Amino acid sequence: MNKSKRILWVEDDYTTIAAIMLPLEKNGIQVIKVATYLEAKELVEKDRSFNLFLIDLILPYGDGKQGDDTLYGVELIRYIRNSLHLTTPIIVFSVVYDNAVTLELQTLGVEEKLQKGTFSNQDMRDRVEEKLCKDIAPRS
Amino acid sequence: MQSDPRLKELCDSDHASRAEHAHEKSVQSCHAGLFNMEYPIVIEGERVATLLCGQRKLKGKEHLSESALKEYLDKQEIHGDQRKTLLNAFRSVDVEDESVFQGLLFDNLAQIAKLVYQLKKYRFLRERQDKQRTRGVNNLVHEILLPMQAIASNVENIKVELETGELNLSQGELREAANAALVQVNILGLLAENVQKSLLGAKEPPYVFSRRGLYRILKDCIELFELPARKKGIILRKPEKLMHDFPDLDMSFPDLSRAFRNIYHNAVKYSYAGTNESERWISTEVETAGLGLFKVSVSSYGVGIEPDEIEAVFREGVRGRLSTDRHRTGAGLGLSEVKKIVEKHNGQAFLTSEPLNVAYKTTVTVILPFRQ
Repeated sequence: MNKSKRILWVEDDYTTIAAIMLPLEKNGIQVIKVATYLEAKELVEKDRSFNLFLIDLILPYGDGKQGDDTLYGVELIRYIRNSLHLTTPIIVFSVVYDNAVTLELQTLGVEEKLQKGTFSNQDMRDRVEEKLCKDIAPRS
Repeated sequence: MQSDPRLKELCDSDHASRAEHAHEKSVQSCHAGLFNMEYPIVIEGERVATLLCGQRKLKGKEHLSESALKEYLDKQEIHGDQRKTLLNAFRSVDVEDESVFQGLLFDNLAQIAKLVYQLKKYRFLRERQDKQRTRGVNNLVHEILLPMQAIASNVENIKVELETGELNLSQGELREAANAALVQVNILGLLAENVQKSLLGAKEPPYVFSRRGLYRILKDCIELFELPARKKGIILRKPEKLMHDFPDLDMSFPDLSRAFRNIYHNAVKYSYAGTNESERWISTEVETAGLGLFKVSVSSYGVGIEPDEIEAVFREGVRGRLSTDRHRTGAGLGLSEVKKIVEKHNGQAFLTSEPLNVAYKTTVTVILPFRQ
């Protein structure tokens, strides 16, 4: 089941917390990692066949421009849902705790919001595999 | 126009849009051809309100107003009686001399603006403080949760492997997972010490100096941060001088060690990741700097610090504007602790940050006396 599944993980700190994805990768799931909003946007424009998006909310924009308070992870999810009209499952994996953001994520059809900290690899694997088992074909 | 709900909505939207984009006091024509004065109220560089007032025709510019209104009515497809009524109403609007219009209106708006400014200022500053405090707390929480996640995930992988073998990890991979967890434990410990010492402030106990080699501190730092640097594709270069080239210095070993751990932690954190096309590195240069002084410079390539912030980033809680550019979080304590520790050693800490291709080359320099 897992052999052909592909996840796009958008996370600027993935080198620090890569271990959480190791069990999934060892189980044959391909995890493509990108660190910025722009990289993710360009990749998803070109390749809409990912089976799942795992997205951090605090992301760099990606061109070195001066920072602002925009949560580029939310921008990316808006883009995926509202511009590309992809229904691919999305899991948010972040430390952001904000009711307004949580509500918007719900309206954007985000499947789950997981809190970084001590989230277990096994739980991550279970959540991801559960979404992949739903086998929702991504469509544009 | 105010009596027609659709036209009123268009007017309101035009006013709101002009209020939002007003940058300076000026007289502008509205979408229906009447002239207003826009008067933005700015508190500490941020526009908090805009006064809009006028709705008059100006002497010598009546024809401009009427043609603008007609164009607007055409665009909105307003014909017949409604058009006639609006044009008649428009023709009855007073015509003002532009200098009188500007002078009177400006004086009146300036009075109102002063009152609005007073009302808004307190609230604005309080909201900004709240926002900064929230951001500071969120950054600190992020700085704690990220290493915790890394530790938890690496330890869980080691445990699963030892219990079941199902991850099929090699000895090398197991060792790397253990190292990754240890590095993050150290980073968490560094953060805890920074928070503790900055909270203690003046109550921090005096340093106890002993004669030790600086080589050991730099070596430990480079070994500690080699793995997170390597994972970002960055080479952490060792200083070219050998151990015997380093003098012994009078130092508070744990504190000076913390200062350099902060410097290397920042260097790794704010470095841009290396790619196949570009190699990145962090370098350490050491030399004697005049009589009885020793200089250590750590350079990295990545997020820079703008010239006007060079002094400020050494203050507690201050982070460079560009450090949020890539949305890296941070507690803003590292450099202030470096400066404090170095100055308690009667030394100096300073930095330079210069654009270099797509990144900035940032160098933190510490000068320490041999003897206290």
